[in-house]
Amino acid sequence: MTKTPIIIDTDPGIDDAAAITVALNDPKIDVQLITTMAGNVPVEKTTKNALNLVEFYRKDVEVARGAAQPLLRNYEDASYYHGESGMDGYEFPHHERKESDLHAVQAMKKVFDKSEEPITLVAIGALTNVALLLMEYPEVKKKIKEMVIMGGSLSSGNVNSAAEFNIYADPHAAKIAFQSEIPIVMAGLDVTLKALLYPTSFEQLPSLGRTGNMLHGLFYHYRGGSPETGLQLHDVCTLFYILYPEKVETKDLFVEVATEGPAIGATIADLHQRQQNQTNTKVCVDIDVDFFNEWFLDSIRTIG
Amino acid sequence: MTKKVILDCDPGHDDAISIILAASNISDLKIEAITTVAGNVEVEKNTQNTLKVCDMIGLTDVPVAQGVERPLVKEREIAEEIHGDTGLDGPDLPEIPTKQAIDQHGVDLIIEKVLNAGDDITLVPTGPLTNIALAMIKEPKIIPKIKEIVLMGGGTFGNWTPAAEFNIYVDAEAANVVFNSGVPISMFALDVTHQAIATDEIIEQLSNIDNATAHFVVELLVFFKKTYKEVFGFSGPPIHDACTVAYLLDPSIFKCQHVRVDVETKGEFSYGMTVVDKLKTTGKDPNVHFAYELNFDKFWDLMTKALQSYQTQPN
Repeated sequence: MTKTPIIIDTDPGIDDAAAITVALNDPKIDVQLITTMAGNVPVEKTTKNALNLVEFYRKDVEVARGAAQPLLRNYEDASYYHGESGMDGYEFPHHERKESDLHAVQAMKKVFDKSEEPITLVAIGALTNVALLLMEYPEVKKKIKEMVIMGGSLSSGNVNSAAEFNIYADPHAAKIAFQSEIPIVMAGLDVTLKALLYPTSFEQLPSLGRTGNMLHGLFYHYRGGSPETGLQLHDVCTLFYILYPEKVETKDLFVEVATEGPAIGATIADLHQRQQNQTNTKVCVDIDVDFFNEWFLDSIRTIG
Repeated sequence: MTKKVILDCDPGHDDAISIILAASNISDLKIEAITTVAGNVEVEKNTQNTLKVCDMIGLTDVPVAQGVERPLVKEREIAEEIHGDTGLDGPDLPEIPTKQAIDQHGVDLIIEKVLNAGDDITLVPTGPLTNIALAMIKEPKIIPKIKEIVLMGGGTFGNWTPAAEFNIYVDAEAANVVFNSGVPISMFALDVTHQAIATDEIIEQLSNIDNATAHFVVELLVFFKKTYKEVFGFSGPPIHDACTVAYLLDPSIFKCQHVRVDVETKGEFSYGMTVVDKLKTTGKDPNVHFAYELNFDKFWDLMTKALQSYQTQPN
């Protein structure tokens, strides 16, 4: 079986935890590196959370700490949604696993340099590390197969009526990423607010083993949606897209990022393809939600 | 006492002269590294030019590392009309330098040098501030460890737009990061660098110094004179960047005022302007020692002695 090699750039984060869970355990995915940044909570915490997850699954995957702050804006966290630790709701046992000595950007560069085949960059936090990587080492672009990002929205935002959190957190970095000419798949709120974990699915989790039990604990404390009306698994959509692109409807569009004004952090698309004669992004617009739920539960059951 | 410096530059005629001054036998500076940045011309050319200057003056043991190739957020802009296609037009230089750049990114070399030093490194940026800003963003721990930033850039008037000086205009977002970092800044803006003019008398005086480095500097000045006359109508070229090193060697050459300086990153006509609060209207704490006056004789006397010192073996 050919595995898709990926780097996960993340800020766990409860939905990040679910995405990392799937990525680390799916036989068709090869996680080569996890890099962290300040996002949902500060980078010390997101790094610790990533290490907790790698330890939970006893995987041999390096975790490298990245940006502590956005490129130009001041840092604002989202601990209201994810709890103080960023992954409230489950007590991870103590362990001795250490983060990499390398900065996330250096660790990414090393993986790209070593790899003979192009790698998919799964960016599910603020795009600060990605921007730093592209600024410092533009030559790695040719080793990036595509960037599958959770972020943005062509409908409305979740920070305010215009902006989605990951892009809002570092709009200048997002601008650099969208201008990079690397193929981008954008799993934004247009699709992630549809890809809810059904209440019936949530209820099944504890019966699916220690992983289901752990996720049930985290989801119970998560404020992205609710167990009663459906939980927003935002970041998981990126992995779902990589595994089942045929179950996600996309539109090829040219997407830009607002870096000033009240709509700062908003993603704007040339919807009618009149202003631009090019596209830079596959925007995910619809998803098979029943299948998404079945697949997610199956994955968790298989992990045990 | 020797002062440790990292020169971050985009040679560039005046950058080259700045390096030559810093490396001369009259200098008490220890050049820890030279990093290059996209600015006057593309970063690859700036790196080649830096290496050629190092070859010229025998600066063999100083690491040269290439930095970023574009500004943080904005499109790239270069200044070929001032510095020529190569960025160092004028003197005949070998096609390929002997010295090689090290295999480390300029931003990472800055981070490594500052983190491993005892809070005693002064950064001397004479190009756009992209490398310095990126180093601060990537590794905020360096910020309290930088002793001082002595930079060429900005002014109360511009030379690239009516409001903005080239180095700041190229990457105003980066400049904004640096000016708000809290690191002490000494700023050599157009207000003072336009006083550091290589007049015909000065060029003639320097032509009498008989060594290869002095000849090279005179050839640079002759070319620089031509473009400054064509583009700006100046009678002689200003040696902007060398003011930074001259200040480190002899601060008494300059008069400075401690003021608040902020960088405009939004204005339609004023993007890249450095807003100098001379009359303290903002009430904000000063962040910059703003040089406003240069002692012409002392400046050129220093430069002359530096070039004469190349008679003997360079350090």
